[in-house]
Amino acid sequence: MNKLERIMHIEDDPSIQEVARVALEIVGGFTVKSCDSGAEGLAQAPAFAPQLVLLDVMMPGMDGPQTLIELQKLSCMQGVPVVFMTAKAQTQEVSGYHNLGAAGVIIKPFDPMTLSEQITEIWNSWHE
Amino acid sequence: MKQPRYSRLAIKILLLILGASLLQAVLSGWITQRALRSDMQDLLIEQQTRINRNAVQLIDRELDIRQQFLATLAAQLALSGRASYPAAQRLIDSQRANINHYFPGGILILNDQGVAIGESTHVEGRLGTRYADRPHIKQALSSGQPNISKPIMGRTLNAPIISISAPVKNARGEVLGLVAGVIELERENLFDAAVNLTLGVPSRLFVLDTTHQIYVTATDPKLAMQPLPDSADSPLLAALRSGQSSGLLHNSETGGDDLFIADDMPHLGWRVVSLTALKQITDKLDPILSQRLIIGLIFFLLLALALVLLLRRAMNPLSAAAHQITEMMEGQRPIQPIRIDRTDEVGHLVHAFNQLSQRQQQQARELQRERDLLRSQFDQSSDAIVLLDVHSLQILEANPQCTRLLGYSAERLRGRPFAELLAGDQPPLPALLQQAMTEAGHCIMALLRQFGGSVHCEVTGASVGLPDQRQLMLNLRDISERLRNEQLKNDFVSTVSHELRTPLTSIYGSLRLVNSGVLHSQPEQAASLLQAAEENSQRLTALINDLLDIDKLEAGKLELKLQQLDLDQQLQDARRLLASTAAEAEVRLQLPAPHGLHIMADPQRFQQVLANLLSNAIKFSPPGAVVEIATQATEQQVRLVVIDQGEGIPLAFQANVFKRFAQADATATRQRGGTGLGLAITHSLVRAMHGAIGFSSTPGQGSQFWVSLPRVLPPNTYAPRSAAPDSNGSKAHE
Repeated sequence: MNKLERIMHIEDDPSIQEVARVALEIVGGFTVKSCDSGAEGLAQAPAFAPQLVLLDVMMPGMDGPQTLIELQKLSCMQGVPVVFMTAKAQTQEVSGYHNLGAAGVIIKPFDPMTLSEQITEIWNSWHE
Repeated sequence: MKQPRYSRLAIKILLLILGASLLQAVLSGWITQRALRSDMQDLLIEQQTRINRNAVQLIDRELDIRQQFLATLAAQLALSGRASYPAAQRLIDSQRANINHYFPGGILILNDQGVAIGESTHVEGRLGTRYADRPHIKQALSSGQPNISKPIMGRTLNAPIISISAPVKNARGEVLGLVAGVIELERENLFDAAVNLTLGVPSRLFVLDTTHQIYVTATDPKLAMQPLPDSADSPLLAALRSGQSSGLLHNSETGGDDLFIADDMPHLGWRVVSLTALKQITDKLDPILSQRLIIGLIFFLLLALALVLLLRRAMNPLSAAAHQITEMMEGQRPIQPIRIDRTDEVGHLVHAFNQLSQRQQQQARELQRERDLLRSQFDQSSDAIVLLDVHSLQILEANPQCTRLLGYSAERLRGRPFAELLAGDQPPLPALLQQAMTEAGHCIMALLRQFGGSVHCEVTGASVGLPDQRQLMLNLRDISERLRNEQLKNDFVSTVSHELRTPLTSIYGSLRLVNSGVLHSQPEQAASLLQAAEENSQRLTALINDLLDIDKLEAGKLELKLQQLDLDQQLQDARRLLASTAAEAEVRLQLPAPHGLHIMADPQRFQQVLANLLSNAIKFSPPGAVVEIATQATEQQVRLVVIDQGEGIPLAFQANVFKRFAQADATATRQRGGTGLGLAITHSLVRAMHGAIGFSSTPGQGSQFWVSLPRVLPPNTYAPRSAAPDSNGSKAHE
């Protein structure tokens, strides 16, 4: 199992982008690529070759689930876990994300100090 | 018209009574006839017996009178001293009238030699004739006693006679001669008077000389001196000879019976016998009986007539009443009480009918009133109502609201299968109806409208009507508006929570990162302010989470995954999660020794319950205090008690502990953190997990909150179970 290093974060809210970036880069020590939309994420994915994708659900244009479906079509994304990060986390919604193929769900507001741990946990269980 | 039925009844009664009286008449006639015949016969026997005795007495008296008379003549002749021709002739001449009266056949006076010396009727050659050879003359002359001869042939008369002799005696008792009287048996009947005594029933009389076996005389005088017939030829004589003195003899000539009575005259050796035909009794009886028959017949006809009149009088009002009732039933006359002026059973019956009719009319009016009321409710109901046939599930009737709701006219709905109105993608109608028919239950149906689209209805059903004519009444309540509102609310909650959480994520995340010191650029003066900002962003997050939980609990949308949980493990997890909070408050959490108990609960929600109770206990405990968790187990329950050493709950507030947004001191919310929803949510969660929750608290001495949860999942309950309002409202909440 490779060590998790490159995380792509697709999120339309720039302040959340920033909080997550700081939390993952400074607290977790990961390399983060932040994208403003699903389309940008799809465009950047082949070049960045993320090992894990953090994906917001509600976004203008292409929303999270749509982006997930599109990402799964990319050859470079095969086997890459996608984790939803959302405020919409009612029980049936969470199970809906899992059905789409999500590796995990992180509920907003998240604790930036433990975010890296949470993601590492999901990464580890994904590769078990 | 049912009148013939009643007529038949009258005829039956008539026939019964007439038949009975006819039978009675015939029977009594027959018995009377028998009794009468028997009485008549007895009467006749008695009468004939008396007549026969009379006849005997009469004969005796006649003979006696004649003997007396002859004795008188003899006495007169004795006075003359001797019996001489001239004396005899003088005597006869002086007594001629009497002689002719008593002895029409004449008398003869004999001297002591038995020679005729006088006669009352001259017979040529009789005077001077010597009669001393005749036994009775000889006997009278020798004995000097009077006697009566047997029937003999008169020597000179040449006819059957009897002779009565009286001796003529002087004072010394010497016989001077005889006075003899002749009774001609053929001419002079001694029994005419006796025969006339038979009261109109002709009888034949016979006087028999049984010694000499000859007739002395009879009703038919020619029988005098005739020998008695043999027993073989005469049943009468056979009976007499066998010693009978009375009896019945069959008469072959008349075909009936003859009655015979016999009396003896022993001093003469005679028997007097009367013979009467009994047929004469019946001849006398028949007119009496036929008279009785006619009277009976007349009485019978009068009875029949009276019965017919009485029955007609009794039945006519009944028939009239029945006629009126029939007319009322056929609608030819209005339904009204039948008038009758009778106090008998007919009156009673009609009166009872009137009462019944009145009661029914009253009931009909009440029913009509109720029907009108129901009808107006049906017509004016704000719910759509349809009546379905219970078997075919076709629409029988639909109210105006239903036609407004679905757009179809009532005519188009009537007779239509209700299933045709169901929009697609729903369970089949019977399943929906079964749900709707349960008590306090309902179902949701989407029903097609005439002009496109469908309408969602909450449907409740009830079975109505008579047992043999069941109908389903469905109340359709349009819930489109409610569903829209719910959707709006859900969207609102979803949007608000998202829209609130998104900025909170940045604020909380930023503050947390800054406060954590990882950025190494935190100004000293800002530290406390940044800390306050972080805590309050945490509180906002908690408030949003609690609000969403409350919303889900109230809507019954909270889904629980009940499973067996290791209580020791759960308590350790809770202590770990709250370790920092406890440390900050300088409170020690004390768990019970491991006990291996298992409970049935949702792990996430059980942790929420524990967190709420423990954080409350920590929050209200003074620094250095201990918050203790104790467990008690029964066979089916595990009770968990959280004991703190805080200030306790004010008495006035204790009733409101589990209510939403309730905190003893409003400022506490801000001072201690918390949303005011924690215990309300905890309460609902515990109940949803089939548990109970309660507390006890003494102000100043701390509180004890307890939670009971099942050790095993009770049968027949399925998670999730939605929270429902409290039912007991006490401190203990189940």
